[in-house]
Amino acid sequence: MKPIVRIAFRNTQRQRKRSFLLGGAIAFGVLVITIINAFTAGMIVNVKNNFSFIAGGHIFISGKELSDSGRVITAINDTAIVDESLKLVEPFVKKVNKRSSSLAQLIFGSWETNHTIEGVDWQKEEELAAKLVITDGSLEGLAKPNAMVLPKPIARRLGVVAGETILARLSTITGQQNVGEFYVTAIVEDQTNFGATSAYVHLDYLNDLLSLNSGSYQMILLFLHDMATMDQVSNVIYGYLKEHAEVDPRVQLDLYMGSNKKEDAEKEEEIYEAERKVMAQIFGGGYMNDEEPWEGTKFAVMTLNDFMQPVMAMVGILNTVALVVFLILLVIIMVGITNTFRMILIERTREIGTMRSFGMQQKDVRNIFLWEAVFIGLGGALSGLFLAWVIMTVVGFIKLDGYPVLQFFMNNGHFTFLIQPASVIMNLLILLVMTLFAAYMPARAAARLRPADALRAHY
Amino acid sequence: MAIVELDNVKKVYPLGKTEVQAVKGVSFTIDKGDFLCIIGPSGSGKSTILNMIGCIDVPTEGRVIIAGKDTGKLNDFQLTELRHQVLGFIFQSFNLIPVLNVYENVEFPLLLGKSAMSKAERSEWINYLIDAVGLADWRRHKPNELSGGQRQRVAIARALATKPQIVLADEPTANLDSKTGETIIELMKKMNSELHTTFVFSTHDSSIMAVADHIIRLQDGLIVENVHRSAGGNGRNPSEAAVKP
Ligand SMILES: Nc1ncnc2c1ncn2[C@@H]1O[C@H](COP(=O)(O)OP(=O)(O)OP(=O)(O)O)[C@@H](O)[C@H]1O
Ligand SMILES: [Mg+2]
Repeated sequence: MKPIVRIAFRNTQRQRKRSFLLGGAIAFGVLVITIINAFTAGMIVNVKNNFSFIAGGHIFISGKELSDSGRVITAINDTAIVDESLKLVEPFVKKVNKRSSSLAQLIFGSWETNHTIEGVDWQKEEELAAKLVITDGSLEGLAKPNAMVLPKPIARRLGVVAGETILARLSTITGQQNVGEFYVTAIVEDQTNFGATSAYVHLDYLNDLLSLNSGSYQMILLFLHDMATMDQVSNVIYGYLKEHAEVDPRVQLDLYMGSNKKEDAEKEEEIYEAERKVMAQIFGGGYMNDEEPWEGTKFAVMTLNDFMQPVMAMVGILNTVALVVFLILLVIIMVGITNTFRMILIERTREIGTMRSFGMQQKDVRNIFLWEAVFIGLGGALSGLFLAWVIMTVVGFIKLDGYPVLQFFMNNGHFTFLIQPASVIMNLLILLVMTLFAAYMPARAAARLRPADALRAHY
Repeated sequence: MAIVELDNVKKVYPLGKTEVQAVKGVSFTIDKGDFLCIIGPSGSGKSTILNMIGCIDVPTEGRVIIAGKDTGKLNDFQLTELRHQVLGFIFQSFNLIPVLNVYENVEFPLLLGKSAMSKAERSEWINYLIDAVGLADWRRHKPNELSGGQRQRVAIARALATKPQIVLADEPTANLDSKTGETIIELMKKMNSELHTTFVFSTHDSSIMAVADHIIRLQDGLIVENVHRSAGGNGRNPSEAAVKP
């Protein structure tokens, strides 16, 4: 080790209490920002995961067609194009699910309400079954072809309990009225917490009621091996479909990140509309729009990221608050560091004079101070990271049940922390730069001491 | 041959609105291998002169020439380099670096610049110095575990580490009892004769100047006496007349 580095390192231990306080403050700042960053990053993944199981995938391709009478029919009859587009991304896709949905009038006794029914292939979507938080009944009744899983708010509105039978009135894709009888096998929490959880039924049974052609479907849902490839994969699919068929504009790309900046109010309105449209297409709900007529199947491609916007906004706010707290802490710490080093400068004036007289150059005197600051900063940062890791590990072990809203942000009842190396490194860099900045003035003053004066000092 | 040459040197310190004339025009030379004692009452300008010889201060007027270099013409970097290459220092209050142990304190000046010595040569040399000042058993001790006399011995070893041509000691015995002070001066004398290093030390205690072979007496910033004595003798060197103002 170079002698000045060695001296700087030992200097940190001269006033242990003082170094400890400074390092402790730095550790606390690093701890807070690391935990919050890791928490929000973990939360995003959990929300996406949980959402993907409820929504049935990471990427959603839906189609609509115009009937002769001008009615919009939600269905993909032109399955060949979809199959072709999927071939392009085959290595990325873990699983392909198909779903149908319809806005139905649910009737129980004298009560009725409108809600989306979604047809699911329970055999293939065991993750969905696993994610449902059952409050009444069980999934065993799924053996019945007309079994239905009903979200709690709807069940309450209808006054129905598990084991009873309700009616659903819906219109087929050709516009005929049709009525089906469903056996309510389980009642589940509405985990999305904004009424977006559908009533789940068997896909075949719903397709029959909707009079869908055999072989056609309303929506195809892709689970990917790696969620991070979501945007790329969906871009490839969208690109292919756009070349070979009609498509709806994409929400994320065309609006959130749109190059044509609209006035704020107008843009907000548009985003709101687009969000409604996405919701309607994923969960049904009869969204009607005034668009030009088209031929064949018109496709829409969406990803989970498209409706992560509210979550992302919340996470963004949390992270910003954390960063602000971190920066405020850092500023306080900086003041502490500057004052401490001013004190150190006074304490070690004669020592500086001694070192200068033996031939230490000004920049080395300055560097001793800066190295000492680096050691304190680094020591604090590493202990902060270590403490954060300990806390995250311990909290990760705790299992929280019975908070349905929270469950959506958790992974099977556990909070997950995802340490992101990039943001950790970023925070450490900010810390290091600010620490050096704080120590710089006293360090320069130390370097500029005239040796003769320094040697005359009383300390 | 002169290694130090002062030519009509004056030093003025600003003091509030007035100024203090610390040195009022002194000229003398120091030969290689001299064991010079600068003696004078408090405030007579001993430290000021030593600082100028030590290149930690430059004269207001006149020239100070150290190993052929006019210090008034050098910038801070060059003065620092000159100090590192030519000079060693011993201080009244020892000024050891508290975080370094005895060995590291002695080694410290060597690490500040490029050294011609290999690692092995270096440690051999440092150990030799530590042995020479009689601290062989204290190598790994920190300064605060040593007595004042021991600390000053470390300082002597440190001052010699870079094999300087001149070692400056500003009142090296002032913080020591007189007996310890004598042994310190004797040790310096020993190193002076063994290594042929020029030693310059100051004191206001006339009892310890006996070993010096060159004595400069100061009063109010002026030289009142400048005598050489033949080595080993105690009479004045007849070849050089005492300078009386
Ligand atoms: N940095 C300075 N600023 C102002 N005056 C100074 C400074 N250094 C020394 N002086 C003054 O210069 C004069 C000579 O001081 P110097 O320290 O050289 O004396 P000295 O012989 O070493 O005295 P002592 O035996 O007390 O150490 C004194 O009057 C002192 O007050
Ligand atoms: Mg003095």
